[in-house]
Amino acid sequence: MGQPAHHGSARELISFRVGAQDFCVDIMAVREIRGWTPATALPGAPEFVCGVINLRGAVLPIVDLAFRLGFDTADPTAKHVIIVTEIGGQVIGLLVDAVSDILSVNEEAIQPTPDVASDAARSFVRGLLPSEGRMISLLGLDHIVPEFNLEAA
Amino acid sequence: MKNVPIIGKFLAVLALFGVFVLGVAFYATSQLKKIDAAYSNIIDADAATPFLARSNRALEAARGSIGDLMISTSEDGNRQAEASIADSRKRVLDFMDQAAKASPADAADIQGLRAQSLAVIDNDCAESIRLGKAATTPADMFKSLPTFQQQCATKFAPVSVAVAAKVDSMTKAASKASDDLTAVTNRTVLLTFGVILGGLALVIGFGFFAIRTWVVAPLKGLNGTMENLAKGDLNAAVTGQDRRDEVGSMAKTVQVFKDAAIEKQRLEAEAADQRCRTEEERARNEAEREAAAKQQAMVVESLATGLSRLSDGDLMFRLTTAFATEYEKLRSDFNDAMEKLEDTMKVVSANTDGIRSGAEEISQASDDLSRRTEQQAASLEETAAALDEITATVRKTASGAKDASEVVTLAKAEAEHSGAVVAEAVQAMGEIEQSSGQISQIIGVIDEIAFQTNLLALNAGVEAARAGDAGKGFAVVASEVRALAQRSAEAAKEIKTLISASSHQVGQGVALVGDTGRALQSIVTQVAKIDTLVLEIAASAQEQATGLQQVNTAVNQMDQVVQQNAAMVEEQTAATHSLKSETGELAALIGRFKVAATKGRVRSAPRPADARRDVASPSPARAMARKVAASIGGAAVAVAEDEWSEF
Repeated sequence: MGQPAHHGSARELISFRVGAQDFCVDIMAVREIRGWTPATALPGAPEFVCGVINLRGAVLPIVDLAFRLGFDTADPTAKHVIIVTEIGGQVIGLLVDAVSDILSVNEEAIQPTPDVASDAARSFVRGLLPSEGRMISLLGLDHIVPEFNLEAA
Repeated sequence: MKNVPIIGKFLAVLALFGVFVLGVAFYATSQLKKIDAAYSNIIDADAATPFLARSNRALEAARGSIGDLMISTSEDGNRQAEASIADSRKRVLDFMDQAAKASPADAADIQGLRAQSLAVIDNDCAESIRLGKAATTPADMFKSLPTFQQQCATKFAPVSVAVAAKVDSMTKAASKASDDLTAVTNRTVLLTFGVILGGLALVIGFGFFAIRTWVVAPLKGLNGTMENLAKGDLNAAVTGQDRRDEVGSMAKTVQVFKDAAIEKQRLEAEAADQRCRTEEERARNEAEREAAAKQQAMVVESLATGLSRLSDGDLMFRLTTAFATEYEKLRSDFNDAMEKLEDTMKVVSANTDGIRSGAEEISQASDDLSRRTEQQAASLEETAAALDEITATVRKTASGAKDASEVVTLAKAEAEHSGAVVAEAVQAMGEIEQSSGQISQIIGVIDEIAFQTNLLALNAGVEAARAGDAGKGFAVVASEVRALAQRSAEAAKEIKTLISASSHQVGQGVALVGDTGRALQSIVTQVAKIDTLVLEIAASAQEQATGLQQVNTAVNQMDQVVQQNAAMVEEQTAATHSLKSETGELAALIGRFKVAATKGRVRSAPRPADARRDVASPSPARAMARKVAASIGGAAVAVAEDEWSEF
């Protein structure tokens, strides 16, 4: 499913925390949210893949989003949350520290990523959403797992 | 008979008389014996006759009994008659035997009569008795009667007559013998009287002549000689000195009298001669004595004067006039005596002064001693009182220490109890901690539930968003649920914080309670030490009480000694005062004598009393009380020794 575009209208985002930063993704990309269950390591998988878990009979690969975004490797606990997303037809679990909120924002409130950011950074962050003194980065899920995309394609 | 004593002569006469009396008595006794024998015979015969008469009556009774047998026709009558016959026969024989025994002289005749009587009853009447026994009917009786009258009854009369004749003859013989005896007795009495009268006359005559010859005649001769000597006839010879009886010893005594009278005459002559010579000597002495008397008067005069001066106390007087040579020694002796007396008096006077001053000193010292002894006694009383107070204080200390010990024991028990409470508190704290842990777990569960609810609410929101407009309402509900979940999570977080703070505080509390327990343990230890110390205090207080008791005893003994000393000092003071007054009297007496003045009259002035000894010394009792109090308080003893030396 592609990224929904509701220009000029309100869109709903799910905000979450990774490390000390807040991020958000479009709610339409999220299939479900669940608590952490220990993952079975997958030999030969990329470093940012923690492993796979059993999601109601289906094998769900888990991406360590912190590691992927360039932070330290997360040490998952029961408080960690897996956001099950559908990226380019591939269902992938994102390991985050915590889910903060469901935000309902206008399109205009989302500001573009500054030019100082590198391409890579811009490929991850689609926009910034200032909210209550914080800065929530809107992640573009397409580039989170590019390899997955290639492998899946 | 010259050599027999007078009592022997009298005994010879009396012995002759005794021989005569013995002869008469022998003759009278022999006659009495003869008469007695004759009378015995008569009495025997008299005793036999009644037995013979009784046997005669028994014989007659036998005859009667046989007659009864003859006329009896019944069996009973026969038996009675037979018993009566046997009884009569026995009595006849018994009386005959008794008569023979009573009069042995007539035994032969009596035995003959006995045999005769036995023949009549046993032989002559045997046939009649047999018939009598057989005859039980009057016819038989009449048949047997002639036999009885012819053979039996007639035989009794001759025997009875013979027995009566024998009784008669025996009575007559006794009467004749009695008459003969009376004649013999009369003759004996007359003969005895005659012999006694004649013999008495002979003995008296012999005794008269014998006493006259043996005793009276020599005494008369001696009496004549003594009369001559009394008249002064010293030439009369004293006869009878060769006799060895009482008269001889009297004659010897008279000879002694005679010799004494001769000696006395000689001595009287010598005394007269001596008297004459003494008279001459006395006259000669008289003249000499008169000459001496004059000289003596002069000497006496001088001595009287000297002694008069002496009695006036003038010891300087001397006899200057010379005496006669035999009295010169007297004068020099008098003068020497006066001189020695004067010297002595000088010395005595000087010494008396010394004694008086000494006595005054002693008296003063005695007064001081008395006063100080009284002070000492008073101080000792104060000491005793102070000791009593101290003893009471120490007792109080001991009892206080005991109370303190009890209180400390209580405190110890309380502290131990508190230790147990603290241990319980620690345990309770631990339990609180455990409960906190459990609460934390529960809170964790709640937190988990809130987390899961949040996740569910988020999923619900996601689903609502995907549902588009249709999910708007659901999204609101999901949002509300999420808010609730978040509030739950926050509340759980807060509770967790509180619980962790509580756990921390409980931990602190446990540590504090542990500290408290240790502090209590330390308190218990300290209290035990305090208990030991208090017990030691009590023991030492007890020892102090014992020591004080000993001190008290010692002080009491000291008190007694001081009392005795005080009494003694009183006596001493009285004695010294009397000594002082007596010394004054002595000095006055000696002052009456006049003696030559001497340079040696030393009169020592009484020493001035030591000023220090009159000062009342500080009371040793108070000092001691202070000292004991100080020693109980743990002060030094050095100060006390100074005070004792003062004491």
